[in-house]
Amino acid sequence: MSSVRWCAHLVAPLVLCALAACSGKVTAPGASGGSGNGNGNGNGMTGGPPAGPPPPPPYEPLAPAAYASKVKDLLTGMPLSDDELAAAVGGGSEALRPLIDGWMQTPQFRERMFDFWKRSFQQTQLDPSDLDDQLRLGSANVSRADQQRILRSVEESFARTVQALVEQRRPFTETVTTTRFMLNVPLMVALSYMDAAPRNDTGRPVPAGFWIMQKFGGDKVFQYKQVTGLDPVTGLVTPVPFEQSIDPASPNFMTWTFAQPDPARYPPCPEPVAVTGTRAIERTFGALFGSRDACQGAPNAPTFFTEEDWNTWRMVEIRAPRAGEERTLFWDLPRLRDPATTELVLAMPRVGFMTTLAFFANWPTNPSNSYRVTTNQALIVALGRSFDDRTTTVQVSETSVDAMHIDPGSVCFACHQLLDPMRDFFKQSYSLTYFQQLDLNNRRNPLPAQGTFTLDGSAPVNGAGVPAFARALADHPHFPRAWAQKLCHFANASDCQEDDPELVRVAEAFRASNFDFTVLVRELFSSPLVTYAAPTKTAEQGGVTIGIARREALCARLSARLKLTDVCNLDGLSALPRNVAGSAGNLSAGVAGSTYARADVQAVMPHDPNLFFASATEKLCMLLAGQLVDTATGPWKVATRTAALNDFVHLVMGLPPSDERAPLMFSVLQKHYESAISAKERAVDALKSSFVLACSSPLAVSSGL
Amino acid sequence: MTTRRRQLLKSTILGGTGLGLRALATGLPVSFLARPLVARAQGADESGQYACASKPKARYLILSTSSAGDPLNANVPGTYDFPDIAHAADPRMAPTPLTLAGKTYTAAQLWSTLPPEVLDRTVFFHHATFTNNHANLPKTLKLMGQTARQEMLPSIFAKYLSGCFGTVQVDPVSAGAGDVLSIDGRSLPNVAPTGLRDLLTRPNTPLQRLQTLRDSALDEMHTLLKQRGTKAQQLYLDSLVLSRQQARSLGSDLLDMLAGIRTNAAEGQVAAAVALIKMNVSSVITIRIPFGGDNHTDDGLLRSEVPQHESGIRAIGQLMEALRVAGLSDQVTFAAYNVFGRTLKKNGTAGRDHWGSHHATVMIGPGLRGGVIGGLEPKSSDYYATPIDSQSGAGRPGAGDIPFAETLAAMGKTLGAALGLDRQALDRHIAGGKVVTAALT
Repeated sequence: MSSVRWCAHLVAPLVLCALAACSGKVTAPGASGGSGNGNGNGNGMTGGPPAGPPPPPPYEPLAPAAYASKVKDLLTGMPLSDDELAAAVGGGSEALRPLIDGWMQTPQFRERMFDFWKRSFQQTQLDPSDLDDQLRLGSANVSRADQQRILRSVEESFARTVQALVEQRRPFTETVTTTRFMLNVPLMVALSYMDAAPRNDTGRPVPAGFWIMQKFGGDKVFQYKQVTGLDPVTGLVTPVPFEQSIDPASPNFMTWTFAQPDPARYPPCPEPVAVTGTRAIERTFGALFGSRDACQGAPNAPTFFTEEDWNTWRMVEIRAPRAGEERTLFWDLPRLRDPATTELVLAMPRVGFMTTLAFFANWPTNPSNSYRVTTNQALIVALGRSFDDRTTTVQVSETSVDAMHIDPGSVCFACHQLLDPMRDFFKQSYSLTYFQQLDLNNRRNPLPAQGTFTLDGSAPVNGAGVPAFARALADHPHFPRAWAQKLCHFANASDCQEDDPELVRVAEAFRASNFDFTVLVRELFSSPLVTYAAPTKTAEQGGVTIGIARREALCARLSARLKLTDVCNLDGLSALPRNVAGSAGNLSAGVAGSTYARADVQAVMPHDPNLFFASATEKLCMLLAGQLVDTATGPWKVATRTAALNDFVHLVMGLPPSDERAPLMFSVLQKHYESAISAKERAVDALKSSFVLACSSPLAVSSGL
Repeated sequence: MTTRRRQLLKSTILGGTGLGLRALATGLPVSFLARPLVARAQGADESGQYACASKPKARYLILSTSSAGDPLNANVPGTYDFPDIAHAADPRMAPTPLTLAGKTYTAAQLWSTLPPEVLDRTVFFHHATFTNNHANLPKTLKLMGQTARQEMLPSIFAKYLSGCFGTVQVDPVSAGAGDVLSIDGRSLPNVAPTGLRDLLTRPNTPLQRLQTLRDSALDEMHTLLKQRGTKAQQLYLDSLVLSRQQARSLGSDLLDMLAGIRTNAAEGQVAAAVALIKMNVSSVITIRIPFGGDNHTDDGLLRSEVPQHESGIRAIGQLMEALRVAGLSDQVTFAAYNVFGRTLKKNGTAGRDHWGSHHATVMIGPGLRGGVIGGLEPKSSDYYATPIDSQSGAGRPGAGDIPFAETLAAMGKTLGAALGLDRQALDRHIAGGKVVTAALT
């Protein structure tokens, strides 16, 4: 036991330290000498399994056919062509640069990066209920369909923003500092609504901040009404036109048509159903999505959002109101639909990836945590850094003594010295429920005058609010290396060594280009860090990673090569029959994917196959065979079997005709077809089985062969 | 060489078994491919480090674990002995006599709803986890640095138990606990129960019938690719073959057990865990049974803690019943431990904060004698786990041969002993702590 390192001091209410951090150490991926790879011990024990792998064999570079195929697949999901293979073989990894430039122009590249950005900026992994703290659409009984659509919009918005910034050749650091976002109409409405309906740390409305309510007469006057519009004589319903509902000059202002609930289940509501005060604002927001539950049991009305509203995106600036300027009215759909509307005037700041609805929904905070999780996740995304004690063996042996917690000698002190001043940036801008911070004069819990950012010994940056924090993150010297590292992980499902000179070179090229993301892609994907065409410190220390195509890569590959949108139904956009799409989604869940987790610097990316992977890929291929082979719309027919088998080799397995392995694989497929016929199976089933064989072959389900 | 290889390939194909071809393609011995279950277990133990100590005493493990830090510790026996420990004012949390192996304790009424034969083998083990950080679940699974080579406790158990049972794979399976597991530094993916159902069941279709022929063709592809591959590529190709062999070795009759899974919630996870054990896929399965979640603002403890205790204890009951029906009651141990416990006193019934100084692991299984191990003591404005007397299992404030700092390791060792690992192995892999013999039969 003496070898176990203990807290030198009693440590405090780590109930406050809900996020992390008792080593005071900021962790990064791929740090030399780090533990967590099964090689570290840290407790001085000697009795474990036999130590140490044997000395590494001489370095074996990957062949051009393997690495060029890997890079093109990673960037586009598409197979290599003969010309591209010839270029790679003739020109080595240098020849990859122009090829990469070409691949970056393809729509498939945009899709791959779109997915990468959604994950790397932590805008996914959400359920509609995760948005309820901010939007309360679930609480308002808004239809599941609209909740799903707003969720999809929320998850896509920032990736679309990054895409626009990259295509405009804006510095990638703007992903941290941008106040311009790609939004559709429902998102504009949602952000404007949150600005008009602020909530405090406990989630209760702050009436003084309900500026719309104040504008229209205050909490006693502003009223939301529901009427049936039913003529008792004729029995006809005259709905209130939407234009009148939102027109302050109309007698029908804030009046919405509803239908009485099923009398067998609920008593009828007296007309008009009237709601005043802050609830009136909330009801109005819900009403735009069709909610009419101001009357219990009333069925939803149709949503006011059109297909065009959901599918039309544009870059919108979010800025604070100037003196005397009115803010954006969330219900003003005509104005928000107008393409000329390119800004929202909101008092609540929105800056970069870390203030999106999705990011906040992913990382809710609470009084104990007090923005530490928000701050730490922002550090992870922007800089690949985390206040994280998972790689240490320091145990928090005592808790809950406040005095000890701020003792400069204590084990927790170091991290709180750094992290807590950082989280103050968030505290200055937002309540704990991520609405505008309006608790400005709280004597018991005063807002700090300024936050302070420093990391890895950088010069402290002082300021107030999230904009200052964003600027500090974007200016931090580790930003370029962090993003080189993220792409490295995307490519290899493993870390690059932080001090690998090649990683440093790539990061420097990125910085020198004024953070041009395309330069980063070109430099990294042509680098031996990814191609393994030459030894690097990363490969020497971590080996050459040949791994499975993870779920996102495999599904993107199949979608691109088979020309089937969202083949695994990961985004709910599959064009396959509904039952097939559902099965594809479930089967693809058996393939390890890339997920991010709280306080993880890098996404969790398993790259080893297991029995579930073997089963899932085979079953998925069987499912697709039923859709693609000898069907009315499928591309492959028994009548053109040879062409089909050639496609299986070139398209599905990704081998260009000039690859020496292509004819060998064709021969195996052909032999399998003939064996199936010999086994008395129908020709169509023999061809389907040949597709399954190609589709589940090592070349089709792996990366780096 | 090439000719001989081709001749051999041809002859083995004609021979019909394909095993020679597979062996040639993979470099794995024919014996392995013929009997992957047995051979896999042997393969896991080439060093002899993970030898099965006693097959009769070995148990599978179903482990419920979560990074949410559920208030699993808050309503177990021991917490009702102190009047200032908060419990929800709800009949389901009312102090109720709980008889464990003949001795009566006081716990929440819900715990008393488990059948007596289950309670007689239920142990509530009070200890600390020494962290208040959600993200530290992996570290807690490594007993906060107390395991050799930073291996996770479930993975240590899996390495030993796979040899005892000849499981299809050594790696533990997460069937709902999330992407938290690793073994030898490799991350292991989570597989959802409905996903397991869909990908492992085998409908009788022409494509299914052609699987054997496809396997032969795949073996041929492996051979061709290996001949042209680097060492790294060859190793990877071997792992692909192995994965396919493991998938093929699952008994078709048992796959039907997965067919009834309809949900990925606790109920589905329980069904998947039992099926995976019945199919002998792995010796350790992790799931997640919620017991209240991250309930900082659980007003009255009624919104999360009470209903999720009810559903959680019901899920445990369902698990026990499923094990009984499957004839596995005497082969499987269940345990539940999370990243940390929650405060017992600090916020009253307004919610519970993270608390690294007290947690209660629940263990239920054939090698366990029902009872309560350790206890609580008031300290620093809340409650800590006490030191433990390793012989009697009693909590001994200020005394006990298992100090507070070693209670987590003691829990790990005691669970390991209940699973059939021998003491030397446990001492080799876990620093500190002692097996609490009072918890064992």
